[in-house]
Amino acid sequence: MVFSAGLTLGPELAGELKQAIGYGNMNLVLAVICAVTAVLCFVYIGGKPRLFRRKRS
Amino acid sequence: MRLLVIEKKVARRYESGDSSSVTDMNTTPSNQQNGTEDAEGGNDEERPLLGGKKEDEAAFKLSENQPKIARLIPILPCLADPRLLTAFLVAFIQAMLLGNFDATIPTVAQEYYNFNSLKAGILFLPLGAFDFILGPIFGWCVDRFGTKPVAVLSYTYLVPVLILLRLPHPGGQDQTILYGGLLALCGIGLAGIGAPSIVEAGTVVQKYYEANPDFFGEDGEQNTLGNLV
Repeated sequence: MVFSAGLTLGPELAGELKQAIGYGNMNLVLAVICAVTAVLCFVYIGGKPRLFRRKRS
Repeated sequence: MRLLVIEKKVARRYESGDSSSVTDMNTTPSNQQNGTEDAEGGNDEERPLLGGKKEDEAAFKLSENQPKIARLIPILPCLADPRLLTAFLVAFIQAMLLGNFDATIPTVAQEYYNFNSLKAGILFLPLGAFDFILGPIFGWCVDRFGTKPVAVLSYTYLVPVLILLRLPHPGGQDQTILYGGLLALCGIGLAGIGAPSIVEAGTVVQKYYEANPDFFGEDGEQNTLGNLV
């Protein structure tokens, strides 16, 4: 379901952005989204990272 | 090559009488108890590497009084976990990126280089080929290093590559080759983010299942999860 939602929204979003702000800037927006996802992955995926564990103990 | 595959929970139904013969299924609670007994006996190989299994289990324990709807749809309390939600987000962003490339590559090829359908389709080759070839390698990396490093590194890698995609300009063959090369680099990134997404979601649900066997009953909610992803 989640994967299909992404496949539905992806082309729509990409098309809109490409027409509104151009191909290069559309890729910039996607790069920002990827950066945010990378940070979220670092915090949440695979258990808490060691930095947060040390602060608590 | 497998000719016949029996799903674990189906096998469990038929093997329930004889637990001593079960060697392969390391997810049933009875085998967990055997594991902790061995650990207390000083068996170093059974000790987990990171943290403790008990501290892990405590994090996944659901409270006893759940509202009625949670009992009807067991996957709902799991959905409150940020780790599972982030796993869904990873899958969602991966699909979004795939959709993005599917939509924009043909139009860019047409506008910049006057490609017809066949040539625009050929432009998909570097993207798809690298995704296809490197998929198993990233799968091995997830098994070896865990989902976190692969996911974080792949998304971080994609940030400059996506920014570089603004470089190709309308022009001749050298611009085409540049675009194809950049798409190949994107294919590497896509292979990297494809590997951890479903693995992570499956791992989290498995941990919930192990920590709360009475809440989820005999059959796990693996099917519901599979449909959700």
